[in-house]
Amino acid sequence: MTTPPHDSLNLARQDAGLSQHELWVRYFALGGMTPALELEAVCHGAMVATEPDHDRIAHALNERFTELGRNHPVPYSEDSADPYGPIS
Amino acid sequence: MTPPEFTGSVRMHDGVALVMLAGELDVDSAPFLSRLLEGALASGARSVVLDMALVSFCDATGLGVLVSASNRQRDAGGQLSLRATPVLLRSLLAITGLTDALATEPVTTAEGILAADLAAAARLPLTRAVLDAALKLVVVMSQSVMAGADGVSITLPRGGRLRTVAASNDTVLQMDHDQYDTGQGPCLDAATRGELFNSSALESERRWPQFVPRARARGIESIMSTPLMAAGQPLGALNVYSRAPAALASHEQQWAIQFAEHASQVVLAAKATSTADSVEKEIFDALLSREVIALAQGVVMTRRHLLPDAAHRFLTDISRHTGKPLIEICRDVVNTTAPESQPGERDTSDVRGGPV
Repeated sequence: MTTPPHDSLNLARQDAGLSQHELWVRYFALGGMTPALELEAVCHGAMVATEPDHDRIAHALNERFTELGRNHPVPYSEDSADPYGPIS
Repeated sequence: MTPPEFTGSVRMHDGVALVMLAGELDVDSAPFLSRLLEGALASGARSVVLDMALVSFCDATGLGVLVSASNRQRDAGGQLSLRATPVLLRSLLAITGLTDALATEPVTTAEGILAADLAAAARLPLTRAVLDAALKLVVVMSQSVMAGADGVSITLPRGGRLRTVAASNDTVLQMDHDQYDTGQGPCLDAATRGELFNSSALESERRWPQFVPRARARGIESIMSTPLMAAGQPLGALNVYSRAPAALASHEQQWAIQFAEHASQVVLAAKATSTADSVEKEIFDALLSREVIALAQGVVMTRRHLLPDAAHRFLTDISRHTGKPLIEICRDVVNTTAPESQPGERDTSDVRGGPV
């Protein structure tokens, strides 16, 4: 897994114009189970998310960037090894 | 690897594969069920029957596995059906629109289902939609076991006043509204005072002078309202109406008390997960989104033989590369599974180069 800069998720969240609560709701809607406070800790690099969980956070942020007409700037866990290859 | 919480076995008898299941059917146990059903389907049995009586919990991933297996069995010219399905699993089927996709054998013993269902009621994340679907089933089941009942409804406080949250027919709904309009009637008294009101002859009833004439104009002659209670406080009421006088006797009263007790448990479980009245719309929408995503995940797991995380990643990947939100991708996957869609219709193969 690519290890992002310790607070890169938080920077992306700010860039996407989402509050911590808004990000948590989006992440939760995608099936995430981490409580809001812990998610905040993950975003700040104080806790480490599992790969599936990291990808849910990344996807929640990237869907927001898509809404804003931007590309998907937040990397997923497998991006370093296989940027756009098939998963299955 | 078999998760310790979930067990299953297949018995063949006269061309029928009977699959006995027990435990919690969730994202961890779904792969095991998937393999088990694959074996049952491969046996060539024309009918596969799943006994769900001991399944204490089922999430949307588990449902996805069931629906996929059912479709495959139907494509092969056979049938897969569920028997002794707990009420809340039926609710889940109802709100996800999959009731028709999974054949379920009719309810035969309400007692057995009520008993088996209470454990599940405490476990399922009770969204408002699940709660309402569960209460509707209570209403339908109540009417089916009470010979004298022509209609059943459930009244609960919503948005600061009493409302009908489930009704078996329009007449019942109008009867409830007559009580809310006039501010009187057995349903209001039961829901606010916490006592059972049984009026066996409206012709001579004097307690609710404004409401009773309206009820009789609708052809109703007897009414019984049983309170839903929690810790000695009334939560709402279960209302039974009949077109015949003295139709709601002790047999019906016993059933009404039992169903009211059951409905109370369901409402309490919803309150315990604090998703009843106080739930914010965004959380409610998020919960529904999760259900759809988990359901699609279960479908992908079965079709592509993937583990849960890989199935989720597979769907996320499609969303990533198409720029479509994950929830839309998952809705497409679920819709291609629903029985009304035609082969090839709304297939997601165009977004990825191969069918999901």
